[in-house]
Amino acid sequence: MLSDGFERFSIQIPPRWIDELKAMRDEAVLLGRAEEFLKNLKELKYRLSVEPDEWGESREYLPVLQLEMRFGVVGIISVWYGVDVVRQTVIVKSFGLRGGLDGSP
Amino acid sequence: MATDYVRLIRRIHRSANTVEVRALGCNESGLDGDTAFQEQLADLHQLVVAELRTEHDAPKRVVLDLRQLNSLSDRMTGDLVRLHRFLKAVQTQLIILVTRLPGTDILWHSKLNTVLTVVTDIAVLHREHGIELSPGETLPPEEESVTFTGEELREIEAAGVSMDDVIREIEATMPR
Repeated sequence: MLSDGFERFSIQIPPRWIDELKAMRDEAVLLGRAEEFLKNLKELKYRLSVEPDEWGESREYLPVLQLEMRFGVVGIISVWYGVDVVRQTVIVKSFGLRGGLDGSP
Repeated sequence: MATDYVRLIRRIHRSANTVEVRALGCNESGLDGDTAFQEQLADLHQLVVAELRTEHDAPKRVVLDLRQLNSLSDRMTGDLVRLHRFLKAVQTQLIILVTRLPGTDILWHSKLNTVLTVVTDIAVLHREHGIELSPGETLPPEEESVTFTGEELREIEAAGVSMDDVIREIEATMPR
């Protein structure tokens, strides 16, 4: 995986997702997939910081906010996010554990 | 037979000692329906095994809600029987909620409905098994509209939480 020097975008995450991700991690622990969860999360960071505008699927453009909404999956984690290519910023809307207890996509 | 598939959503209701599993019709895995179904049931199997390893008792019941599936293949029914056998061995009842359609009639034709607990009516599930299902997700991701409000964006920016913060927190609190 590439180092921080290649990062093009900063990533912003709604604070509540710290606790939500911990809950998802706990579910992964229950399934014996904690390491996979952490590895997927790190790869997600790479994708979102290096190639968010190419990775994932483009779903919608929000012209007023100048955000392109995209959906991507790494292993057992899915993510909805917006990309602002002018400000080189990624804003995460939500994470989901695929097939998870929380029911998120 | 490839079946339009399926993502399973699980909820554990500890108070009722029940695991509720709902199959949604979507395909984000790129796998064919049979294989994806098998993988998801294997995950469910692992979930129950993991529960058995903890201080929790095995769930008394697993409710598998297949109402969004309009067909079941031979392979899928075989997977269901294997799951039923495993759950029975740990004293857990598998209850299958399914809509009786030409594509799902295999459960009756093969007389599996006499081996498995098959319920076609949510009212029966409630009356005979005392189970109230959670309000369900119905939309696969590709049909959702996900957006932000300006206020939401300002709050996220002001909070200044980065992906590094999240990963650090997850690692620091990882159970040993």
